[in-house]
Amino acid sequence: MLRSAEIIPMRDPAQPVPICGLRAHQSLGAELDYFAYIPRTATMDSPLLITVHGIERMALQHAVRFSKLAEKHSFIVVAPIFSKARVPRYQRLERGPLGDCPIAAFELAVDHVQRATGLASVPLRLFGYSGGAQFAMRYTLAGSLPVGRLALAAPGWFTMPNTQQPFPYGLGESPALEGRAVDLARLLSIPVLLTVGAEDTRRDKSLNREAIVESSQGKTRLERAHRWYDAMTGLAKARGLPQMTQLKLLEGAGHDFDDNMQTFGLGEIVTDWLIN
Amino acid sequence: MRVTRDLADQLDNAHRAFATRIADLGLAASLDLDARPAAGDLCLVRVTRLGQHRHVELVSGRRAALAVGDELIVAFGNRYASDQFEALIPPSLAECHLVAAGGIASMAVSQHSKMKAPTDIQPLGILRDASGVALNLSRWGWPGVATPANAPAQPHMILVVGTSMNAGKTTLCANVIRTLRECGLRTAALKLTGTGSGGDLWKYQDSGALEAMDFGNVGLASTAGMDIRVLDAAIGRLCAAVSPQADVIVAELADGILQRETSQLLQQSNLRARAGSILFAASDPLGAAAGVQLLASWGLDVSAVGGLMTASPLAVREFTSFCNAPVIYAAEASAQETSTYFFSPANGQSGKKHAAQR
Repeated sequence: MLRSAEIIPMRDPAQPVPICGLRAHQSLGAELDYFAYIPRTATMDSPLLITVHGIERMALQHAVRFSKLAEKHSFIVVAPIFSKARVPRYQRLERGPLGDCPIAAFELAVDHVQRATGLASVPLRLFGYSGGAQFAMRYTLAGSLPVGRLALAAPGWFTMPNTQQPFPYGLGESPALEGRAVDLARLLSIPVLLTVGAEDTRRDKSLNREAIVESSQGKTRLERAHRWYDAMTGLAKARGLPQMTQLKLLEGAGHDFDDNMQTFGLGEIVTDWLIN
Repeated sequence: MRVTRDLADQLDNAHRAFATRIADLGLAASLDLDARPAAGDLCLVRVTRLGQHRHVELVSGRRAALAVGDELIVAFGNRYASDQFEALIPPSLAECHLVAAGGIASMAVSQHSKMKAPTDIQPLGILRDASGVALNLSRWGWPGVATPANAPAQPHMILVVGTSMNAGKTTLCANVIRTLRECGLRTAALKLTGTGSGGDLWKYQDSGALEAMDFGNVGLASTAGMDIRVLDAAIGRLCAAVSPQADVIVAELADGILQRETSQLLQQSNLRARAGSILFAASDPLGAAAGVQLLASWGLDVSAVGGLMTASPLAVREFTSFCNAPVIYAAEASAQETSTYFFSPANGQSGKKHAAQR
């Protein structure tokens, strides 16, 4: 009989740790496809790092670029793929043309990882790059699963911590939220690292140039990162909260993910923040 | 031993075949006409009659037209090619055949009915160095490197196998390499077994591989008939030579999975552990289904099926009505989504399988 099981058993019951290496999970249904990298050094206590791609959807590249660090620090990498056809504006948490919900698809994928590996997935250690950073930030505000630590790299624009602007520009009411609560306190209460290239100042065609964004956040990713960081730290100070948000500039870095990872040490910075 | 004063000139004027590319011909000092040829021995030959092969592939990759009387520098080797020739290394330097355009001298013992008779060549002598030792490709093959236990993990290897020669394996490899390149990854492409020829390597390179290597780089003219342990060790040396810049290895085994060496490598070798996932190229639905099933019986799950079969939507439908292994089409969804098909679990770890109707 050629037909095989419905769920990837990444964990061989006869072995103490999941099968190592690079693996892909393909989904027929509502959950996301994803790549997973399980290092040879993994144990059942290994932490899990979820890395979310930008709008070019280089999930495989994310998984591979983190794989050597995963070997060194014994963590599992999960890189989901948000289908361009099904959830084209996943970074805004918007449903796709066929009604697919990026939040629900993401959570089903996390649940699948948990069932397939047996590893604890929550609270999430979540990293996003560019559009993926937007998703990670907004998921932390409006998703269901708890996020324990968050690393954001080079998001094109932000959800600003004010209620004057509708979501996803701010925290105000919006049909896009579909009744979900936006929990700013959650974002203020967890360690958040924001990185951006000191040279990430090109206004390329992928950059959001809406007037509402430019007027409140600035014209480049670098400028917008500073504005959001200032707003978050100012808000924490006004509320008497500890400063949980940090900003790190990558000197010399532009917006290329591979360059950031391979030349400017982004992978090590993120690993240090989320895992170590 | 006959010392030839003008050997250097003679070698300079000969067509040097691709299969000899790693050799240093500057070491050649004499020709020996009395030797019993061995696999990998370098030999100067003269074309005596043109048959199937009317060109020889040079080290540069150029296909040089042949004429009777042309002299070639080739290597002795067996050949196993079900669509062309089966050939064995002859016991002497009597007239034999050019059995592969990459420059393999051997004695054809059977051939596909569509093939013309092989091109006849007369050995003029095996090249020897100043000490009288035969020049053999193994002299320049990369030496074995013991892999320490704490060595960094090798890149994921996508192993491509198929039903037979000309099932679409190399084209599948090329498509995988292109897809991975679109995903921002660098690929090392390896032809693990077969007969010395540049064609597949050029195709890998044209598809964007970071590097393309084959068994010739570890000193083999061909792999047909080799002891499986020796061949497995040679593959290990080839893998050890992969650039540290490579993110993924795409490796191809020649011929079909029933072929002796391919079958043995898949059933009992270190290659089993090296292969992170397996893609299967098939020329028809029955071959695809049987191949998936045979590999499963060897404990190897196929991540996806491709190859010639995918040229026919009807053939793909026939296959998917019986077997739910994913099928890779030439023009699929985005490269990022297609790439998931390359990394489904292998080595007995069953994955979720479905027809890729994208």
